[in-house]
Amino acid sequence: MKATFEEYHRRLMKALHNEKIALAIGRASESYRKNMSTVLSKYPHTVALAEEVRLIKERSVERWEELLKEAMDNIADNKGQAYFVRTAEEARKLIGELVGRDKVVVKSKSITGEEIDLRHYLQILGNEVWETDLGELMLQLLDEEPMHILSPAIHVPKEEVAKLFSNVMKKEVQPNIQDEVLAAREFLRGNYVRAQVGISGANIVASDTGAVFILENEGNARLTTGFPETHIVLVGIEKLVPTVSDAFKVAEVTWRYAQYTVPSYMSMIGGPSKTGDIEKVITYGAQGPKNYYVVFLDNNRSEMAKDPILKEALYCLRCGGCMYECPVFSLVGGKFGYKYFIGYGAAWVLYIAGLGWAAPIAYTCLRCGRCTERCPVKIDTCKIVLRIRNMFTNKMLIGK
Amino acid sequence: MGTVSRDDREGSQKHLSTVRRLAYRLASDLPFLAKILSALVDNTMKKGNPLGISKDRLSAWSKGLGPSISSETVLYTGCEYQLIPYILPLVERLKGIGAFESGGGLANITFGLRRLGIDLIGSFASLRAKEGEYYNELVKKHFLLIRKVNDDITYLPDELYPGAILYDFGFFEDFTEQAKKVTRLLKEKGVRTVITISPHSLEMFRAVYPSYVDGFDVDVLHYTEVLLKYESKLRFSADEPTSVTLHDPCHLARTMNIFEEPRAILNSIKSVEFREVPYANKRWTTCCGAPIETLLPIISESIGCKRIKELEGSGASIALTLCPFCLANLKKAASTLNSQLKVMDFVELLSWCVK
Repeated sequence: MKATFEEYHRRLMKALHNEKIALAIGRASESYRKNMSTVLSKYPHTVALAEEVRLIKERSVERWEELLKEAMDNIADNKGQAYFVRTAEEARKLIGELVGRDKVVVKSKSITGEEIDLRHYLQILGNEVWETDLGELMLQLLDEEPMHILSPAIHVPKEEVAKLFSNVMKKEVQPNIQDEVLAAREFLRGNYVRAQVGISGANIVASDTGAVFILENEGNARLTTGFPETHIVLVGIEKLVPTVSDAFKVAEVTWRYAQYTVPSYMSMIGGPSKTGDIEKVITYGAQGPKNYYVVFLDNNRSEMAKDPILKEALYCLRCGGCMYECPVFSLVGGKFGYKYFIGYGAAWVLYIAGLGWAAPIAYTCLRCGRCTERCPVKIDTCKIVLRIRNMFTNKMLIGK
Repeated sequence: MGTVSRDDREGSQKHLSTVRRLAYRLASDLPFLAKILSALVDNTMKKGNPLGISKDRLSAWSKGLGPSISSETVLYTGCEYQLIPYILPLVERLKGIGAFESGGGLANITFGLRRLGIDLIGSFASLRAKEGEYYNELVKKHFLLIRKVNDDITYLPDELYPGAILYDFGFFEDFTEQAKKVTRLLKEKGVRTVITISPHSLEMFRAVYPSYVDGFDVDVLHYTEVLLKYESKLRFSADEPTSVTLHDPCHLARTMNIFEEPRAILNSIKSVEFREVPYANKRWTTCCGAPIETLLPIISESIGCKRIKELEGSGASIALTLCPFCLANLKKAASTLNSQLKVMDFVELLSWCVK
């Protein structure tokens, strides 16, 4: 993966000239701040809970290997199958084998899936793959990259959605948000029923039980993980925490800083579906999936965990709050980044794509620090960015 | 927040080999970024400041003050206000290279840089004398104001740039060298207390130097802290009713936690009505865009314009700030937008109102 400042810059400028992006993000930021002040005044304990979560994440990242082993053992005990893969390529290959060919696959939103470019890989193998998160579905149909981690299609207005859906669904869809949501629902229903495989990410994994937690509002992740015969979870090793009670703390802070009092759904998945209703004989593959796989991905996270400064980026809960506070993001959205966004994201970019992408992102950051002000786990972007700039200048000096 | 200490760095060294391995995945990328950075850093190391401006020009602000007295307390300008008039035309010309921001070929960029990045001095031909005078006057105003409360204050005609740009751009070794030079200068002059006027110098001296220079034991103050301490010696009053708002510089408010001091001073001025910017104030202030003005000038300016619109939301007729970079970027943005809002330095208002 190689990039030049020029290529990155071209993407940035193109986004800057797309006025829809700034308009949409401006509106979103305003309502985010309003909602945040409402939810924090209703649940003021969240701030102290966030401090506790920071400690949970610090300790968990420190002992990821131990937590991973425990989680994998527990998943096996629960009659699921757990795998640990080192690289993006290994992850694609493994998931490709688990899925097979000529299958129908439904997918819920996963940043880790984007990281390894999973959808395209499965499509190349000859599978029919559908994103089921509304924003992700729109991007899939537009063949674009996400612009924000929680609202990936934040820059697409309803008129364009109507045009897009009318084309794809071969029927007239009115530029009315209610109608558009309904059209997507009808369109996706059929896919859940036809799909043999559902793929999801995960927000948290509790090692003590191997339980996987997924937060969402649309209900698509429930159907994706519940309807098909096979469910595959792809999750980074930084999502491991020791216990189920830790997981609930992380979950509450995550959804609260994603501006929700409570999300519509949180799924906790411990293994394949089962029943003991006939003669108390436990039988797998009841109403939910029969096959359940959890793929833990490293992809240099273990290297990031060794860096005294950059490891902070692994504490990220993916609440998305920082992005609403970033002045550069407010103009160019996800183009300020590469798969992972804004200043702190440069740490992620460094380890998944190299310094060629990470350096221009680090030098785009204003180091203004407002993201850290918002961050529930106080990830120190200013420090992270300095560290990456220093790596770049070291490389420059060596090159002299 | 946001500073990297020496301990952090030593911890990082252990891990550097892996990181280097990652870095070397890339053979020949980012020549453009490297050149821009090199030009700014080479100047700092060779000529003492990022644009290689002579000491005479940087100390021209003190003309008319007479020789500097001997004192343990100095106003340390950090050379930052004085550099602004040179940065402005440079940024204008960087913006002028189509290739820089609109994605032309690499050849164009290299050509553009040969014209500009390296030959920085060429840009100064367009330096407007009036602007130079304005920023020099601002430095002088700080000095005169502080002298009103502390007549023991002096200045150093051969001041060195504290090196914020080296630190911010990640040149830690060069920065350490510069920081040691500055520390030596302060020791030679017997300085015990520095009073800073720019948030970046304040941050360097107060938060960063102590972990890069052994035995750095100088008291570091921001001038608003000094003014507030001697509040009883000052009387401020505006000749006509004025409404003002405040643009908190990020490094002053968020990094150094100074935002109540300027508000307390403003609230003590008769006939001045202070109006807060909705939401984006104090620790939630919005960046003015200046930090990326040399690398991404068009985005920088767009951010400045967005900030002006936020400041307009206060309903005040004047926006004050306390940082030369914020000041310059917001002035530029206000003029781009034809805004009714007048952008001024905090010290300008104080100089007008001090009785």
